[in-house]
Amino acid sequence: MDLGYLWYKIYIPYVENKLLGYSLFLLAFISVVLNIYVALVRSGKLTSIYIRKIPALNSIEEAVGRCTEMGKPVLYIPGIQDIDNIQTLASLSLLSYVSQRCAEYETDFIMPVSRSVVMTVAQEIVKESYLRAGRSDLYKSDMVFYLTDDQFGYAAGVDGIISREKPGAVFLIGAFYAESLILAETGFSVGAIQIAGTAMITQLPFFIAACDYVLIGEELFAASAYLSRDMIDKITLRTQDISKALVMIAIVIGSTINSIYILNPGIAKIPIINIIHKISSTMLLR
Amino acid sequence: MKREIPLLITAITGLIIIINYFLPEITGGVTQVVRTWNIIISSFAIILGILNLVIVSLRKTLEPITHLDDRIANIVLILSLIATIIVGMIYGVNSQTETSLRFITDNRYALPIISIELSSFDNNPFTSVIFYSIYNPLSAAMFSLLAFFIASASYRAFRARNLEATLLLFAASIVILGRVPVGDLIFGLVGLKISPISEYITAVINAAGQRAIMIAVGIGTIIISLKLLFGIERSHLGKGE
Repeated sequence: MDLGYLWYKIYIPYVENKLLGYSLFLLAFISVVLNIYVALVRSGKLTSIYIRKIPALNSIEEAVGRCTEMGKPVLYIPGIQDIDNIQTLASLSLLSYVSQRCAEYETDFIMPVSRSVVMTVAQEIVKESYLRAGRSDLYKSDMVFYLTDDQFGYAAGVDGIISREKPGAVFLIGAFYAESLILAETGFSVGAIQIAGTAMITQLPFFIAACDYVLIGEELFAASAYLSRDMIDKITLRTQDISKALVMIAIVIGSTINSIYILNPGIAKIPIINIIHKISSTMLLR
Repeated sequence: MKREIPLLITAITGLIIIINYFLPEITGGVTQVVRTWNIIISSFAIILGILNLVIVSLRKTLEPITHLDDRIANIVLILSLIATIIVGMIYGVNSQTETSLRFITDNRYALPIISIELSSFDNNPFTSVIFYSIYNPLSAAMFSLLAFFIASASYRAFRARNLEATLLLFAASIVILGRVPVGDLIFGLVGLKISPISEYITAVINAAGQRAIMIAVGIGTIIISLKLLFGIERSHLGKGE
């Protein structure tokens, strides 16, 4: 293939969609920062980092302990989306921790799922958690079971399980839609301690109103790193903070330059200001 | 090897999708191929799901320790599943709508009035009975429960227990009153208009908070995706701590 034609094929999507370039820059920036931190940890130059406390994650032990004292089961809902949803993956990462605590405390564990692929993955995770806790004798194959792919059918099924089994703790971690409040209010009605976590903006107010602890947005993605003792896992939280700082700086600079430009358009004569104004205008227009 | 192979598959597939996103003209329809594989795998997994559902429900029904409520729920579930499969296999899943045109003559008046009635009827029991008469009303009933749950959750959220809850109550009262005509009518008595304040809270303060969460979620998504690609995140494979 002609090199000029190849370059044209690479370049043209970036001309048609300018945001593609910014996305690539952000992805490259985060990858570089992450790899620098991984190298620092592996070389032993970074041994500890400060992590702010996340009450919802600190309360997991308390919730499982409460179930043990009351002799009630723990109910874990991983949302209604499939394995290709990043929130479901984040939920499955947390599942490993929760199910291991249940195995250690000898507490019953119930996990109805709405997607069959999630079911097969979750069954493996729970089985391995029980093995790791040295309580494989307590593991039952029907701890994780499939209900239905249908949104309200699943909500009705889980509501029935909550009403009959009366769990001591309900974990609602993953991607939820309209069924979020139906599940959370039913959990509240049986007096369960409820820990929720989602990145769905529209469902967060419902969880905040009905649950005891909530992982808000990015906290859901930080959960597995927060609970892990592995330093390489933990430094991803630092990468997340640095990326957020970069975005914050970009927002402050972009909005300031744009505000000055509106008051005094002549400022665009300064080359650097002109570039920043053009970049921020492209992003604002999208 | 049990963990290395899934990690390798994740890394290769993830890289293909990323390269396709940033170089769409060169890599062409690679993503579509991966998505097709995903659909095929998911279709096979549904069989696993149904088998699991039947086995778990049968076990619960037959176990002597199962509570009566639970046993009834499981029997209803199995019977509904069997009935849906049988009716679906016999009649198919596509609706068979028959449209008929009928002329109705009304002779009560001096001159007869002729009206035309257009009616349609679905002859397939799967769609007409199971889907439209049972499944749809039940789904609508579950969804409508939300209205009552919103009322009870709002009541608890708006109790002025501390400063934050009081502020929430205050802001919510303004937004609620600003959204109904009577709000402006009440505040009009003291020369105020509440709807612009309500609009400002929703469009500026609320939107700013939501965008902050959305940006953080976006960054979190990138980080967790990179962790999966680089093999740092393994707890979904049962690594944990």
